[in-house]
Amino acid sequence: MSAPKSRLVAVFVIIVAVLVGAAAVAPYALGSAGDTNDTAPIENQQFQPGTVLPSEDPEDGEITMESSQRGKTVLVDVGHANGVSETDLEPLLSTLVENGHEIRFYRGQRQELNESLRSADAFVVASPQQRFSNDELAGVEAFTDAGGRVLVMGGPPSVEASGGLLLGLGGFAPTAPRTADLASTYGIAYGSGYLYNMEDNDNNYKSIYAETASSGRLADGVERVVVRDAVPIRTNGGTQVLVGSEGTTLSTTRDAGRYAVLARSQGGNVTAVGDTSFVTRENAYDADNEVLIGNLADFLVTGDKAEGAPTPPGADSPSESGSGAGPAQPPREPTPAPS
Amino acid sequence: MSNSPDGGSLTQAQSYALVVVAAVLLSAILAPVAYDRATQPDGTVAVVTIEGPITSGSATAVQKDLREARENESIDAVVLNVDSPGGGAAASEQLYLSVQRTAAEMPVVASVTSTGASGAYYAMLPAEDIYVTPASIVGSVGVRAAAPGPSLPGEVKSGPDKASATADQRRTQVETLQNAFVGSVMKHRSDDLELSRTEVAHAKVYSGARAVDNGMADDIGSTQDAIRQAANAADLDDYEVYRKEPPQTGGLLLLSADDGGGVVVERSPVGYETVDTPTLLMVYGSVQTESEVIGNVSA
Repeated sequence: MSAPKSRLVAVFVIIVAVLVGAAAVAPYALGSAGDTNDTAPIENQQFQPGTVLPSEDPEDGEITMESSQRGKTVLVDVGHANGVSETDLEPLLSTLVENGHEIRFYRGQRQELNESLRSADAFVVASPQQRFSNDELAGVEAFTDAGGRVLVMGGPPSVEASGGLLLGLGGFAPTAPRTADLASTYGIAYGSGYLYNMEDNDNNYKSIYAETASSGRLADGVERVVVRDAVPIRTNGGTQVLVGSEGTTLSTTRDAGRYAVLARSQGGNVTAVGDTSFVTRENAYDADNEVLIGNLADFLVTGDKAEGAPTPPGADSPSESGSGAGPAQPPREPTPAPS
Repeated sequence: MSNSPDGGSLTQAQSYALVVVAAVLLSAILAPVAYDRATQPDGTVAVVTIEGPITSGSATAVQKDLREARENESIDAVVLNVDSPGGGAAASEQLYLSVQRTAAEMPVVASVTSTGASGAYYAMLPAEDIYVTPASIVGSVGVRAAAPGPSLPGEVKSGPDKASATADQRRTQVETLQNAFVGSVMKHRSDDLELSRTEVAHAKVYSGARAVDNGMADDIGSTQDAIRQAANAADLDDYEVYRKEPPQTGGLLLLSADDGGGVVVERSPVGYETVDTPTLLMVYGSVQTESEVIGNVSA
């Protein structure tokens, strides 16, 4: 009986060895070894850095002024709940100070605008959120009639967030710059909507390039500038200085066209820009923005403003009855042509 | 059975009877197996659900479902049942890669039951067919960067870009992801698309009918139609449907504080909450607020 027993054991061992061995080899033989398929490479050329990384323009250059004028006074409006702060305007204001000019702010507290304008040579208004009163509008008109220079800047309505990070949260109040009254006096109108360009832009559809459309001091040395939040400007008899590059489209109509973002009034004493972003320190060195800022500084100080305009309310001539602080006097000299 | 005197041999009739009984017994065991084999479907179509906002948590769960589908040899095709407005950019990309991996091994068909927008549209791009209904929406091929959160008072940072980014940097990030997103749409759908790359980049959403017309989707049909199409693509005449349970995860929460500041929190499915600001989103629509969780966040 001993021989069959050992034979049984041998059979048992052989069977176990064959079965376990077969189980070990089977996955390789059957080609089902776990994640082998998962390692097969998949080409995603659209993810490669060379494909997805956008080009970035270098930011360099200096803001310089050509004008040799000194000692002009530039009044900056911060008294109409302006959507642009003194900090945002700093590159322009610093340039003026560095070149020997004085900056004063109109805060709307101690004195009237017209009183402040009287001793100023130029006036800068950026994104006012409060309307200019009729007296103030008349005062600014008298100011430019007397040769004072005015720079008006304003972008599309900004959405003021009063709560939350994303749209749809909290209270949002769209606040449009109240530039219409001021600009329309000089045949300049701010359009609605905003400008964008899906093809030719500085890494965002709203960061459009504006190219020079006419010659003149404001466009001197400027090939193209970057504006990041612009509205179109329409003029009556004025000069379009900068227009959006080809493919620039208006958001409200989706029509592509040549939209002006910087224009100069017919008389030449008023320049209107449909954007306020280009002047901030963050964007001041994009493309030729630094050249444009220098040119705008030159524009502000190269006027030839007569002393004492606008005149005080009591000093108006009898023939101009009932117009308050309006354009009491005709310009003392013809409006200077654009220089 | 009668016992023969020596107990050694059976009669012939007894032997036959024994063989018949043994055969019937054996057949009784084997017949059901044979019957099952004869009636077994040719294969299985797995339905994987992508539902709600895409967060890293929900993306991981769907990736797991897809990996199981790839590894399970009985599954021959996958239908993505999509109802999502998108979510985090990175999570959406992960889903895209996972669906792409699956589509390389078996037919994948997507069915948009309600919304398949932004990151969710990204995820289903590798599907060979996208089914929509007239009222479902697809598209929104775009990226958005939420505004950076306010830095904490007294916070000390090791460098100027730590925990913040300039507007230039965020624009570049958005542009980079947008290039990848639009590039993926063009890679998978350029043969069908009536839209140019620029039109796709406008990030518009399209109703199902419009999407089929302009090539953002393929067919009008229900999830059942998508399942049938997936089975056809896998050459299955007879198939069964295996529905994966949709992943249960917390959503993308936007917590707004009383002072108007806000912070986006991605709630992890494993139970802890990390305060984070996922600034890059591929999402269509506004993100819901959950004010009751404000107390948990001291931001």
